[in-house]
Amino acid sequence: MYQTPMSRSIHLRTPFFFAVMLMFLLAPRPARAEQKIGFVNPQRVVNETHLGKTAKADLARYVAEKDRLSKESAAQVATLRKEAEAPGLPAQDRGRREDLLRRKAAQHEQLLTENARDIKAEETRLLQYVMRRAEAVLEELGKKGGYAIIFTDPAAVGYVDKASVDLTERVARELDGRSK
Amino acid sequence: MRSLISCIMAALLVLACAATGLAKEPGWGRVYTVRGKVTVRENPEQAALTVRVLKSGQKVRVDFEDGGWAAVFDPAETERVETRAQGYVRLAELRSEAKPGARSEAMSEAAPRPEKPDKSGKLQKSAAPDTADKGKKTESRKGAQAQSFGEIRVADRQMAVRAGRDKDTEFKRLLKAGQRARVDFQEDGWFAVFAPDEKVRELSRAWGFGRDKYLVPEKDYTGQPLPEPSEAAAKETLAKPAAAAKEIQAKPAPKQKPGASVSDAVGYTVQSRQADHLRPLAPVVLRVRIDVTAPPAPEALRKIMREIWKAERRKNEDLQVEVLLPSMDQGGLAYGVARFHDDGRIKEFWWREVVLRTKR
Repeated sequence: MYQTPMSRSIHLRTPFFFAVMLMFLLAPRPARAEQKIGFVNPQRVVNETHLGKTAKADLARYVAEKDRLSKESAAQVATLRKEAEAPGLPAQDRGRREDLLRRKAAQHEQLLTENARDIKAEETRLLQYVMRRAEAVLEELGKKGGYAIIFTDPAAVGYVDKASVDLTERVARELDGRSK
Repeated sequence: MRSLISCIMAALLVLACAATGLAKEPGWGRVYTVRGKVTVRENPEQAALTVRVLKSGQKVRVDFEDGGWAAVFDPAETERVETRAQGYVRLAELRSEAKPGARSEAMSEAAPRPEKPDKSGKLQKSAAPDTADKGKKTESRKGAQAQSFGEIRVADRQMAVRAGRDKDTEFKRLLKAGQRARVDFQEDGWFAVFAPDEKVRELSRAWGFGRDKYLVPEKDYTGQPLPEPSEAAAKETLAKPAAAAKEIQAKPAPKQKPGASVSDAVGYTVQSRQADHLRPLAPVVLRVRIDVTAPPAPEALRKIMREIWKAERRKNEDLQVEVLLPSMDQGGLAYGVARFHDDGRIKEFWWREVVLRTKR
């Protein structure tokens, strides 16, 4: 049978090609089986752990303290307004009181803005404090459990099989175990 | 008949013993009998939490008067320790609602008062009137009765009274060290200053404006006209240690959480002092680590922080104190944070229990 060099080369290459394909298909399989994907809901970690609940209580106390300051300032503004609007005041005195009221009202507005900013900052600080501890748990869990990726952004996940992928409860349990 | 007489005699004897017992009540503070309702607060601040309300007929022992506020104790309280107080009342409110000539008032006036520790336990000048300043005190009490607004304060140094709340405004008059004045309308670190006997709360009737930090409550005045026998001792106690590691006096709060105890003296180390140069109005943040075995309860923490503020504040800086507990991260979240008014009252205070929940 006449064989061209080309057909001979195909004949020779076929087993080699199959061998490579086989290796490619077989080799990654064990690695794929070890690397898992997990998901943790940070909001649930905050809501369901002792650490998170304490942080929320701390934040509530902080907000109450800021509210107290705001109310105190508002009361001062109200008093000054009453004094400035009192009937029968000499013009000079009224002007002075109105000036005082304007300054106090501006200070009050500034206080409200600062309070809102401070509350936001404190919330971030407390959340970060909890999440840093949760991340330490996550890292350990990821290494031990062979997780390649653990998502923490609920918006980035379309579907989660809670039984196999959602690690929130495990993280919460572990975090509770680590906190007093 | 004989048994009836002996019964009456026994009853009289019991009454006499009880009276003697009452007479031997601790000779400190003043006992007031409340006529109306008086609010007792957690701290000497109008905005502080109400811890109880005194009802008509109730007797209370009152001491540690400071800035128009006083600590309230059980009348039977024997120990004169501020941390045993039930709370604080506004003196004006108490006086207006208390029965005049309450029994122990005279008693405490006659008895020499002990050296008065301040809220943190430091020794301060005694508020007891000695013979030399008795006249002045009587005068001051008369003033208090006539008081219709503000409070009487004393200039702790020679100071200017100005036309406005600014040091660049027109000079109005000079207050000499020790001179009394009625003050009100506190704003931006300035008081409106009135004649001590002024009864009308009108800014137009004020002498002018003076820096509030130089106008101290009468009992806190340490200058010449009101000499104090214990001045040297007080100064010695108040001397500030030069080393970085310091010790302040702090006592546990009356309402301590179980397990949270603070020894009488609390040492602390300054960890950092940071000023935000980009925001000149932002407070200087002082982080200190306190040397305690258990986290202090919030009320004790307030007192510790106030003492630290007093010791560490430089000039007129707005100093925010942040307290770390032993073995907490130096750069991490602080356990307690406090900001202060210029006169040392706490403006803002909060603490974070979350930092206690992490095993260290």
